[in-house]
Amino acid sequence: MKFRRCLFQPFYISIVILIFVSCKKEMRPIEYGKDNCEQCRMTVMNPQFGAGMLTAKGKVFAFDAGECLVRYLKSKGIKENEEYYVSDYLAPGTLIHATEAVFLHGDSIQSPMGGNLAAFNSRESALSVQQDLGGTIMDWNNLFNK
Amino acid sequence: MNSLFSLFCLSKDSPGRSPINRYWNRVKENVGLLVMLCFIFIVVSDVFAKEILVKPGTMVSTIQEALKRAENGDIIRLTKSTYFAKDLVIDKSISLVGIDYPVVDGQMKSNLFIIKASNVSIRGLILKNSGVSSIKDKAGIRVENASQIQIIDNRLINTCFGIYLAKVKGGIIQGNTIQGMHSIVQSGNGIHLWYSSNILIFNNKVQGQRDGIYFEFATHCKISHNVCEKNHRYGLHFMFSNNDEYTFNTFRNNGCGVAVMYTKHILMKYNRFEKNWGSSSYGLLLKDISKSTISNNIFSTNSSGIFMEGTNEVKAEGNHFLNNGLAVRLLANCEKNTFQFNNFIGNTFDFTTNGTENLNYLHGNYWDKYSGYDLNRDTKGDLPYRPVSLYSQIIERLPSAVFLLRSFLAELMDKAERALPSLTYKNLIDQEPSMHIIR
Repeated sequence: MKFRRCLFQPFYISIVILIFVSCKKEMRPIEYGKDNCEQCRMTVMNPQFGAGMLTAKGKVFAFDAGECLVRYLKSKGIKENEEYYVSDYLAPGTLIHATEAVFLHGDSIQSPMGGNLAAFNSRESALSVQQDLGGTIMDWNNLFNK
Repeated sequence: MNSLFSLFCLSKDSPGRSPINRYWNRVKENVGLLVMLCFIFIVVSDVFAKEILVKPGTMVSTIQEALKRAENGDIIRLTKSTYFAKDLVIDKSISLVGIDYPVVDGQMKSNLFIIKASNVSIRGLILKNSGVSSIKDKAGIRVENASQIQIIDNRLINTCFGIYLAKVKGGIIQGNTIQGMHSIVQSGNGIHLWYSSNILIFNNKVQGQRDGIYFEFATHCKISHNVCEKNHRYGLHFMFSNNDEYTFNTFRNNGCGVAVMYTKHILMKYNRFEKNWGSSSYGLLLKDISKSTISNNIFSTNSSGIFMEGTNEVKAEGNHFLNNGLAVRLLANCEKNTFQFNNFIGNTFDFTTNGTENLNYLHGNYWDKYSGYDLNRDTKGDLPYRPVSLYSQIIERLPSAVFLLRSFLAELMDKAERALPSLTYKNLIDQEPSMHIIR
């Protein structure tokens, strides 16, 4: 009885929860102003362009722009069970899956590392911004093979 | 003047006798005409560059009205008052001069001024409250496709971007104070150059912006005597900008002092990098840069003085590294860099590196941790100095070992390694360390 009471103490419960929570393999949001880009070492600042990846082991890397993510993957190679994220240009700070995102590439988009690249969650929103800023629309595969 | 005088003498002596004299007479008349023309021209040009006084309650009470009336070369003077501006396009070569710092308020809507003409100067204004947009960068003063711009002695308060130059050739940005008020995420850069060249940035003060001064594809620019403080990211930031120089600047309390990235031929001289503290904060961050010079700078109380990655053929000479957590961090992918005649005083670690190979050159530096001797009295230590301590190598492998900092164990390891060097790098050695502080 004594043991059971001890087991249900909030302190122990919280530890047990913590163990289970911390074991989860999950993308965390990018901390703007704190995280450093894994590729170019710059502090990640602009929530319109921030990108991230979740490695197979559950480690999170932040990138300050989609182009940095692509450069990093080109140098390190793509592996199984990795997840890649980019920011939605129209909803700063929201991460979307890079493989499903629609990209707009054009000179008037000034992304942090000179890649002139913005990401969108749908083709419609990309088209609406394209009317304003110009540029060409591409998907993840186009981008990666460019 | 002398010839003119002799001309008069001649004509007085013999008026119109010989053909020569007649000729002189004609010259005299023409000279008179020429002087007259010059005079008229001066008067006319004076009229041409007219001054327009903007004053509330008069015919010209707004800047917009004055711009409508102005022509190339005019001066618009603003009397002390508050004016409003939203995307005010200046497409004529005019000077906009404030008397006793009038205020131009953007009411948080958009850009304040957009300059699209060459030879424009803006002086002595207080520019307040630009808009914030996530699609287009909003600035206090935005200059596009122009040359010979002068932005002098203005105060910019609460603007997203302060001064934004896009495709500008030649200009002076001098004596401005830029005070950013926006949050980390919303703020823009204080002075932002994009595809610009030959700009002098002198004696400005930038606070509270994302980057104090930002260069992207900006070449042949000079940055001197500026103070960049408390900026969220970098005091000064170079991206793909070659052949620039910055001298006599102070970078204090920024997220990171200066970042020089993907560039070459940068001259960095006589700057101060101070108090750039933080877990990943550096006084000077060098990433993929080559053929540059870092000399006579002071790096004091930074987390890391210099951080170098992918850096080649950079010469660091005569710098002072004072009281930094880590004076120089040199990653193994840096080659052919030279460190000579620098002072390393009061740093927790003088040098750290990763990897095993290191192809850089150290020579004649002063290291306060050096405990060698100089028997032949040539002011150079007789024993070589290895700036990478064993303990710092252990931290490299096992970051949590920093827990043992300044402990007896760490001291013991370093002392033992110094006495019998076997584990530290063989080629990262100062063969002739200086015995005295280099002045």
